[in-house]
Amino acid sequence: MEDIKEIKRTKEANKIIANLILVLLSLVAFGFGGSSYMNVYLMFGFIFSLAIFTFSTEKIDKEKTKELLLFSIPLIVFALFSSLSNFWFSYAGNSLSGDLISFFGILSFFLLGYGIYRCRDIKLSWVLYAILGAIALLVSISTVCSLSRYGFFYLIKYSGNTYFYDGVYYSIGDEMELISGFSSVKVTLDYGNVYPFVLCASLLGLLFVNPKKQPVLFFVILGEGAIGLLSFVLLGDFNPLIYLIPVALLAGLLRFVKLTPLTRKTNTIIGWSSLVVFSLLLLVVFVNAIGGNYFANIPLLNKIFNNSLLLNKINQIINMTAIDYASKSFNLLSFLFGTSSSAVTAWNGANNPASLLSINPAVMEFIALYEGGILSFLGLCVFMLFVIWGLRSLIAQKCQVTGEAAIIILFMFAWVVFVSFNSSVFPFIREKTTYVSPFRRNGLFYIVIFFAGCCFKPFWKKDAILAGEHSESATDALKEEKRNEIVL
Amino acid sequence: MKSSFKSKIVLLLPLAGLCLAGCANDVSEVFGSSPFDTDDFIDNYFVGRDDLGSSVSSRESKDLANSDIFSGLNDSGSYTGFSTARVKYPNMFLDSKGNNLYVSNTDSTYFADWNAQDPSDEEYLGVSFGRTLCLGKTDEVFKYGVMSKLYDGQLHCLGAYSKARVQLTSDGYTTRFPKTLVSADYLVLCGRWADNSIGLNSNDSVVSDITVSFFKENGSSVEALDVTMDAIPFERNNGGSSTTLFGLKFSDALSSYDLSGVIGMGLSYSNVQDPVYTSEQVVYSNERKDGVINSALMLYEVMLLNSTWR
Repeated sequence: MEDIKEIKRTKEANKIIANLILVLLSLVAFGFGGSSYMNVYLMFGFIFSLAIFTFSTEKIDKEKTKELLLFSIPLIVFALFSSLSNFWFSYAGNSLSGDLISFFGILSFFLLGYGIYRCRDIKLSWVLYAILGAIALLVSISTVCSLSRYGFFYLIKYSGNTYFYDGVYYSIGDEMELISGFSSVKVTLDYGNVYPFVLCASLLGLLFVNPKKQPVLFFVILGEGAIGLLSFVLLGDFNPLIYLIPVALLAGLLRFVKLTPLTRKTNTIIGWSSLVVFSLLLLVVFVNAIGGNYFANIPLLNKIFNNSLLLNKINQIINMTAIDYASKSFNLLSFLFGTSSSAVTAWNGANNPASLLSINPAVMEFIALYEGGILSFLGLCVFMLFVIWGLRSLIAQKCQVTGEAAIIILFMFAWVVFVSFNSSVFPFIREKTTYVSPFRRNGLFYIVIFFAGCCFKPFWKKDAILAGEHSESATDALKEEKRNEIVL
Repeated sequence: MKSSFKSKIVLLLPLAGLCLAGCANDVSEVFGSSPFDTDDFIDNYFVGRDDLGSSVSSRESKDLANSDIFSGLNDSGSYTGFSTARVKYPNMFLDSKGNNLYVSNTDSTYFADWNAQDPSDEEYLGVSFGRTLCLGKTDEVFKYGVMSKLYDGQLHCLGAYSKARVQLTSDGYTTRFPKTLVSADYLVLCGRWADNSIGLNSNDSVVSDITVSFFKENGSSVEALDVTMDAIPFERNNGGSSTTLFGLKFSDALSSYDLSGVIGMGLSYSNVQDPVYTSEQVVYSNERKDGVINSALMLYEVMLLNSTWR
């Protein structure tokens, strides 16, 4: 009798936590209250991630915990080095408590995503409604605020025009309104566009949803995605839609190309060869940026590695992190633990040293480099590889992608693609020196980490990738697959 | 019935949003790509914004005695304009807490003037005379629009060049304030002289009469009071830090004039005495004449200290 009561109480608690998690995810996705409130949400994320496991009726499997820990190693490395770094220690107004909250926040949201299937009262579609609904609300209000100033299609109509504020003129075509905290602020297009962009990307997930079988999911996602698309159209902002091409390609690949499980040999060959090519490329970029322009006399390589807009920024960031400007020598401390927030670089013999403000770093992965050092950068890259590989093996195993899973995958991919080219760390038009990290206290980043937790898959397990093997482990994999059905 | 009402509300919400979106309430203040900020001197004249001058129905004039005003030149090493004003009206340089405010490193030990290109206020408020007491800080509404160039508290060029100043012909400008004035203690203006002779005859002194107009609404008509300050000295082409601080204390210079109800202000200049150029040679306008020097008053700031608005 007591046991039944206990189970009932646990179920009730589970239900409450489930609803609170949905509210938390909405608030984080909306960025309600601005960056100062994000610390509070992260602390709640930490509490809920523990609560999920505390109030669960299921026992914690030691094997699964071990797998989770192994999978999380790169994320833990990234969270540790990006939170407790030289950059943030030197940043004015930063505190150790903020660093610790950031560290635990990242891990909490991953754990929250991983553990979400334990909440039997949460359907994945509800999580999507909550997150995408909050973003859609943010985009709607921000779009109306933007349009109320200069009308429809103002980014095209007033692209070469300016307005005055507090004695300074600003370009109308370079800014949009975004709700930040409890007010609307003027932000760069790169910063504000990421929200409608991920909504547009989720629209592509409709390729995987049957409107007859899942009408609610179909029409809710259609509505939320349409708000993102409408925002771009009404503002006259069509450039970000270029970045939808790789997202659409991925959606097409998942939807129309039949994914068959790969043999271990093929899998290994593809995995290692892509890893080696990618690593070599990175090594060349790093050596060139640290050593100082080795390709100056080779026109083609010089054009690729030194003069392209994006690689020029990357070179400057790497150089700033690794080379001390004053002594022109290698700075191991900065390379390992991130550069100082006031560091400068004179890469490629530039006459004037370039600061973060003048470089305007746009590549999310390399922002991780100067914010947290090389280990933070590698941690992030390896974690991204883990998620990609885990997803690939999971999709190959199931040979199909559900609507919810597709929306999550496309959302994550869209965010990575967009912020890999368009991160804006000084996004506020009228407060040009205010630094905003794409990681710390950034709601969308925590949502992506949450989704990564939802997609957790220990890809190194044989049963996850082998085709045609009916071993005992494969049977276990099928059992696990059933458990994961809630998630993917 | 209830659900029908709800569905109507749901339909109305996006419509309301679209209506709001269609307001486009900032389009009246749209300018070209670099307004009044080109390499060509003649294109930077502040023209075409006569808001009030044309609707004046009656006009009164008052010529002020030198004792009613303060004025003085400031150039590198000698900030007499500020120190003269400080000696005459020490309270003018106090903030609301009674702290002394400064304008330059020779006026104090601290170089405290604000630069519009530096968006940070923190180190200037409570220290910088211009930034602390400017109209933009008195009321947020003064920060909007092109006239905010005159209300931002930047009293020098500080490397911002034409971004910082307003380049005026002898006709000057008139403008309607975003609010109606109730009271004010001082009028403070800051400017210098410049021409497009490019490096020639720099560091010369120019003297000009400056007329400040105050506009009051009386029914559908506008009444103006023109107050002329004679022989204000300026330095020509001696850099953006060589400005003249001039102005008046209302209770001393215009004690009989009730400021309450002033809706706008204007400024023009006349009787320019230039030691180098005769009036035939110099054109105080944006009218291009080949071979003729174009000249202008570069106005940096208009301040109404301790002003209240409604």
